[in-house]
Amino acid sequence: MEKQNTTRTSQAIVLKHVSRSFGSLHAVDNVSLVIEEGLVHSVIGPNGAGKTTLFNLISGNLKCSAGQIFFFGTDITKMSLHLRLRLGLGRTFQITSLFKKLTVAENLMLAMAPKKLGFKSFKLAKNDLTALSLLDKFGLAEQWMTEVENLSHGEQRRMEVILGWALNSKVLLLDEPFAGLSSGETFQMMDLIHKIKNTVTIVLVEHDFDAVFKLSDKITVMQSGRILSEGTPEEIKIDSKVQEAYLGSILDA
Amino acid sequence: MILQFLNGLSYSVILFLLSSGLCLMFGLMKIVNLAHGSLYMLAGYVGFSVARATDSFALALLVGMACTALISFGMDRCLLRFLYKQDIEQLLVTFGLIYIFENLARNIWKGHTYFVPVPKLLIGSVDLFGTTYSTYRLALILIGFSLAAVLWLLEEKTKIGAIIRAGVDDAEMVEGMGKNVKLIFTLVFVFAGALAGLGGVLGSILTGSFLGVDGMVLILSLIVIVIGGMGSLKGAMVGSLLIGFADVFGKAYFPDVAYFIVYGIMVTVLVIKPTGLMGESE
Amino acid sequence: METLTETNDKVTYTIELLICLIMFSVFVTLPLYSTKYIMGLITISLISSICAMSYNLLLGYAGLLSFGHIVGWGVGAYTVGILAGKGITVNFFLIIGVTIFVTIIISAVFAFLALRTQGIYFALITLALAELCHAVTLKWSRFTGGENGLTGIDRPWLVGDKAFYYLVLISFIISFLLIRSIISSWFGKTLVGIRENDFRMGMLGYNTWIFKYLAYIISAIFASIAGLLSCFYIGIASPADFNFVTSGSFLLMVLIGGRATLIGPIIGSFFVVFATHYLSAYTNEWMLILGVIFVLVVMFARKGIGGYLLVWKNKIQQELHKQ
Repeated sequence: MEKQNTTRTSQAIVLKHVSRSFGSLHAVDNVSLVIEEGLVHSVIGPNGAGKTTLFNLISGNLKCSAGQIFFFGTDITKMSLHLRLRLGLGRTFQITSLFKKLTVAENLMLAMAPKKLGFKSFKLAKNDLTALSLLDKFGLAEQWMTEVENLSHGEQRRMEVILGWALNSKVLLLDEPFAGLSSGETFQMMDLIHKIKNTVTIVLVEHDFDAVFKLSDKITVMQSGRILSEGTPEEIKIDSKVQEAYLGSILDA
Repeated sequence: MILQFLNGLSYSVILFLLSSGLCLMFGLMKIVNLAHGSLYMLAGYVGFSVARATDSFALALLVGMACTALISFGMDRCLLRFLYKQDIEQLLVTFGLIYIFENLARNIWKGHTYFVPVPKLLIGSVDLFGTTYSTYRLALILIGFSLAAVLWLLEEKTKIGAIIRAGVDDAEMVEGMGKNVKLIFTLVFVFAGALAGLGGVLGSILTGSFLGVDGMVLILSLIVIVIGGMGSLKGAMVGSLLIGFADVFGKAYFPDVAYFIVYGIMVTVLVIKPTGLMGESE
Repeated sequence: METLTETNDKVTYTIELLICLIMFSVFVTLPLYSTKYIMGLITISLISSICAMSYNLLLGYAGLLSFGHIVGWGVGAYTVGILAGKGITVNFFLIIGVTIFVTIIISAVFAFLALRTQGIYFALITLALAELCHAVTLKWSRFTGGENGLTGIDRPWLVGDKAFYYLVLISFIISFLLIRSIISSWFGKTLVGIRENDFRMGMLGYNTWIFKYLAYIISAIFASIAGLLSCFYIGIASPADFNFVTSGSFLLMVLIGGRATLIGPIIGSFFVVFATHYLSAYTNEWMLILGVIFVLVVMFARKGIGGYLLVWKNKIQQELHKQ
């Protein structure tokens, strides 16, 4: 799954004056944003900042009220979720949505399969090497015959990310992957994301600052539906506007 | 013409009586009780027996409703409370009950068709708008509209409707707010059962109760709420009116295809709006 | 339930093959030693198995509860009734062809209507559509014989009971192999995924609608073959072939036999057919008993007989491996 790094990073996702309103509430207000290929780009902000809405606008779960979204140059503003998926835009879910009664290996298999109508015979072998080696990389090889519902919470959240990654997308949107994780589980999740970041462009929406600052190449901070500030983790840390928005103390990590 | 109008109205009311219980349960609790028709049948039979024994319509009605309410209570306590949020299993369980109830009915009433006698007060007919019309049917129309009004008030204007709907989605949260969700569910289910009983006794005066009426009533109620919108009380009213009039006028003016008019409407609605005219959008 | 992984090792596979061969020989030689009565029951059981196995494709594997499975059966029965009963043709293969053709058209339309919804809505709409067909057979008397249905239908090539039994057996084996290959194909695995989490399958890029749509039509085709055979067997096509209570018996077969297992519905069919016959001979309360079994299975024995056999088989395999 190694991708070749292009010498000139292209713009994976471009938002131009994107807005989304719910009645009189401007959840996302005139946001313009560039996500560069190959980077881990996080979107953070206090509650109600509009990050989740923005996330859903990019993934296709919500339609824009105004503005345009481009995916590697293609205008995807009007495209359905499924079309965006096919173009290479995948996502995960904050509320884990896995195949609970199927095993880890089976979950992975469903994500990696060709997805076309086919009547060729298939049975996942007990020792399927491809799946095993992948799971080994992610530390879940031992559980590959375990039903997902029997995994720990942290393992399930990691499965969620792995499923998204297994889609072989060009861009992977991660929806609060660290939500509700203990410190040990957070470490494992960070390790997982670290392992996959070279193969896919990652857009991360998250509350956990520690993880965000350690993982991201670039951070966009939102507030009240607008972009407050943008920059590298170091720049954001010392940005006074951002500190003000979060009332300071939380950023002393 | 007036006659047809009144017939349409009374048929609509019967349909509404039949389907209101089913609709309520689905709208509030997302449960479909496929044994709904069975409750109609049992109420009709019980009503007949009580009326024959005591010569009192009021008693027949009360006992009939009490029976179906009791049965519903049993269903909830013994079966449905273990199937919270398992839609398919709920459907299946109530489906299995159809067999049990029909067997029961056959044992007790031996497969005969019995009519609940018209209450003495309402025997006869009334002169209205130039035609003579059965008093009972008129009373039925009034009862139906009153019931519709009462149910509408209950659902829209009281907290109960909102609590129940919330409870369906997230019982833990509602329980955290201090309301006993399981109790409320049971009460709603029993209430819906009583409604089915009401429809059963009142309806059996006209249709009689027999083995097979359970299937017919279930299908009709189903068509009403499929057309009107599953879970919407207004939808049940709209659906009942639509089918009631379509069927009566169809039989009067296009007797050959009357039966299919109803199904035609249903298919049309399914094509335009699968969740029913007033149902929730997907 | 069967999922996606191959759980059989070589030993188990051989044992299963052996069992199949034994059963095959039993069934093939049946007419030699069986009474007419039992052979008749087994004929009906095999026919019902075809219907139950395809019902299972929808309910057990795709996770779609449909009360409209009976439509396929009824179409099969009435196509025979109309073509053979009214003397239009007695060519067996032509009748099959017409049956499959009509079934595809009707189920394509019904599936299109019903699949615009899901869950309970879906189940109820399929019920209503099945009832539509029921009404048609009752009212369109000129065409369908009304309440009495169509009678006087002869067996294909006027064969006797024994030959017809073999015809049914062959159909059963073909259906079994076809359904088995569907289940073990990518299509089947996708259906399981849809059953487990339709939403996520869509989010993974699957067009879940088309899979469900095809599953509906395919299962209807098998049901129509079963209905066709049934009509040839008993010589009558009646509105009961569209009755939703009749469809309940197939549902019972799948539930008792075991959802999401291949042989479950077969076991269930034999159980229900034999139980119904013997129960109704000895007691009037057979409906009660079936209903109680229905409820008990749903409440307490959701895996069904086949499901428990599968669990048992896996346990034995694990034990053997430990040694």
